[in-house]
Amino acid sequence: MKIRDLLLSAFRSINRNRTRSLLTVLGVIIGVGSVIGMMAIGKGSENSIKGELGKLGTNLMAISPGLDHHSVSLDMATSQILKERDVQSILKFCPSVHYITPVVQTKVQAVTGTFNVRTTIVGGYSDYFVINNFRVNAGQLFDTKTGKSIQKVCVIGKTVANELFSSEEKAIGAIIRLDKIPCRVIGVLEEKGQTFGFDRDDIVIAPFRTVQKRILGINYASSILTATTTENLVDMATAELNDLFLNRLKRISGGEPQFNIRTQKEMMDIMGSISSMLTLLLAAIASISLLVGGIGIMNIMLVSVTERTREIGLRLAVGAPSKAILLQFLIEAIILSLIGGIIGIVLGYVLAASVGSALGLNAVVTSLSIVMAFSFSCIVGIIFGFFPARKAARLNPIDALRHE
Amino acid sequence: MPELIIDLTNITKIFNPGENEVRALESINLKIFSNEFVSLIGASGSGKSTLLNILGCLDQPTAGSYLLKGEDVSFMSKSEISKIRNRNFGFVFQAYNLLPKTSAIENVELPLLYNPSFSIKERRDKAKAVLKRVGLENRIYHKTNELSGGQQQRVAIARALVNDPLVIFADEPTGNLDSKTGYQIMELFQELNQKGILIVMVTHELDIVTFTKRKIVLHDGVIIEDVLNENVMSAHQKLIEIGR
Repeated sequence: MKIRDLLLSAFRSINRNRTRSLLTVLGVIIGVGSVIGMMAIGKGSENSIKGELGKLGTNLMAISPGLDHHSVSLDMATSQILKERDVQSILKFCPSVHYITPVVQTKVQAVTGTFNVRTTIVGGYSDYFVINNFRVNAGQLFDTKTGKSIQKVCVIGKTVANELFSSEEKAIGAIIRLDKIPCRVIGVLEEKGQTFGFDRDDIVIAPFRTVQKRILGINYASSILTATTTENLVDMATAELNDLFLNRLKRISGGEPQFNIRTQKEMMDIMGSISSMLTLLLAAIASISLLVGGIGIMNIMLVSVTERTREIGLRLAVGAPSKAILLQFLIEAIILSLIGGIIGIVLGYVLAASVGSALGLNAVVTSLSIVMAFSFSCIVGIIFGFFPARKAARLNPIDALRHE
Repeated sequence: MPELIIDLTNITKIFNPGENEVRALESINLKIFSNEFVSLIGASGSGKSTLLNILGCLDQPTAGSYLLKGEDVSFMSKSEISKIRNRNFGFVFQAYNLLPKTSAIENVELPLLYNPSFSIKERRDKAKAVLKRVGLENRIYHKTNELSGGQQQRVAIARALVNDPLVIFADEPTGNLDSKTGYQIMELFQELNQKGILIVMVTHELDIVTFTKRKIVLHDGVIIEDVLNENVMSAHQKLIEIGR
């Protein structure tokens, strides 16, 4: 049988049962559509994560207690290992480090006379603003001297300002109580928006010691943030930091270094790989629906073989070789799943665009996902079409002709 | 000089070999020549359909040999047998067995789809020619469901003719038709037979048998009567008598 005849016969038979064919390919349409859509959304969020982290600057390094990225458990002694005096040592022994701040962080209840809100408070030096690219909208940031002091002042994010005050101007100079410690608001930060669903404006920033001593009552820092002036100094700075901390900790505990230094680049890589994994997971879940769609095709093809038993018997009787019958049904199944694949790609685009805009992501449909979804739907057609096609090809012409 | 087309020697067919075996055909010996019009008759279960299936290479015998124009086809492979059927035989069934919702010409073209030596145009031309031959030149593009029973059987006959067959096998071709339409089909068969096509037909209608040249009666898988019809009736004449 010529290829043209096979294709023609497949299209005719699909056309004869239009409604049924449409319902059959619906599974594949949804499958392919969701694979492409999910991968586009995943890719979009990966890009946005990388973009957000990139905005923070690639010259950033964070020092935190703990063995490495993979260790989970921290004992008390280890988690309290970073002290404010380490900042002095870093400034002294690590010339490549330009910006530095120790960081403590906790959740507090921020209260004015009439309103209150639960928010995050961060304690740090004024370099914290530089490293994290914070700017004020109203009022001012605290300066270097205030940042190292124990003064009861703070800068608040837009969300906190909106919750507690009627306007940003009213906030400046007002006193808010942070877990009973009264602090004067000296500035309101520029809006930062959301990152991965976290509201970056839901924040209060106060001098390091104000938070460390007055609010938390501890004598260590949870991490130290540092930055170099340019990105190409990062490697050198990391080496200097490693050297310093290794020596110091060897001296103190005689053991393994119990801290780690993460550069922003590493963090981007980690976040990137997490989100690629998420993308993969989404695609895997979506491909289950493709599988289900394939089973739908198999089901309908089996029904179709039974329905057309007499036709198959006739074709065999007039001299169709089994191979031609096999091909006929196989091609029909493949065409069904390809039609589903093509419509599914369109659906994927629509899905990516609509979900993307709902989540505020720039969802990217990659050519890889299209090729993947398309070839997968082709494979689905072949695999799930083969069994019914073989059933048809193996029919005995006499029995098939007599079939009622 | 008539040519020997079908030569059966000791053909035996046993279904379900073992304890519950059914001996459908028992040592059948049969020779059929090129210009014949044979009717196979017998009660149901006599083995006439089984014999027709074996003759048409739709089934294979349990034992014995079947020479088609001198070539042994009794134990050929499935694909070889398909080719034999495609090139040498035409089939006409009681229930027409046309493809549903498909035009007459596409139905007629069907056997040629499986013969790669025909181009698409040759196929079309051939199918049109045979549809004309069976008197359906005005029904070429009609869907099968738009045709009467007699017309559908004519499409089926055109389909059987399209590959210029050596033999046409017909299984109760008039079974689903009223007697007048049945006679029209027999008229067509007689015409085709006159032009040299060998026809082997299973039927249980005795008046249909009178239009054939040779009568073979089967009973319990054995040929009990094999006679030439001395007085072949003309279906054409019959139609004039009853007023067409």
